[in-house]
Amino acid sequence: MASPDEHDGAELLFPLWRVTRIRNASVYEISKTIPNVRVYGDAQSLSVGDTVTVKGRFRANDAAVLAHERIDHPHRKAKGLLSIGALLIAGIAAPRFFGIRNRRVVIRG
Amino acid sequence: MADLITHGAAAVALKAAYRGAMVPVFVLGTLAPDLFSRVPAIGLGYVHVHLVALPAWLTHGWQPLHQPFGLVVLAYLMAMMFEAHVRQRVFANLAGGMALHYGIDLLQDHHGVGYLVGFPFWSGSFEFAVMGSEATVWWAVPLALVAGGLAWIRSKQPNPPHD
Repeated sequence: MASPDEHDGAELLFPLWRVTRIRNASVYEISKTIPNVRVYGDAQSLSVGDTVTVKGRFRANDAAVLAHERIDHPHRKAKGLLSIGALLIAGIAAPRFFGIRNRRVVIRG
Repeated sequence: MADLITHGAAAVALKAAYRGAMVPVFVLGTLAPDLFSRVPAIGLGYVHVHLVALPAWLTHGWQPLHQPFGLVVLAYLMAMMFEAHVRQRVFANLAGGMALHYGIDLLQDHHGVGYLVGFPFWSGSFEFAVMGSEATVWWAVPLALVAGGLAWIRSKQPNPPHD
């Protein structure tokens, strides 16, 4: 944030952010569009690489978030793997169903 | 977004249910929202967090391609890549697949952050929030098997497909 003091106490929501560092049992960092946002909240049962949604208030003096709710997304990796699998299948199957003729896409079959 | 196995299987199952034609185009349409918005956003987001800072437009600029207005534009541009005599049917199938994708995504609950369904004309967000954002993980593979079976059964029937 360019002017953190103006947003002191603001209610923030961090949907589907990745845990990038565990400082101790009550402080961790999350990243997505902003790298390494410090969060004060229960870090127990968290691991680096987990995906979480965090609701909390912004504290300007140390640019941290005081979390009052954390929603874990333990199946996020499985979801990602399923999607990667689907893209691989689609990529392999694409030449069976689509081709190029005269610089235009044609539908086969 | 739901996982892409679920999106693809739902598209195949729907087309098989009414024996629709242009199944690959419809499936392409249902994969396109994530392919053209989520994939680059996630990839460049990873670069931004772990490798080198990128400008916000590069990590966020793909979002309109996962919103209705942007998807209509995307369907039009994709249809223009096909031969002229099939463009209208391709556009309809791409848009239909995208609508199916969006309909499934709108069922999800993102804890207060819905989809910008009216961008760029309305800044509000919306979602039905009837299932978690990872709920589809459990039925993705069974749904794919059902969709594959349904498509196989339909392929054995003599009736000609239609759009």
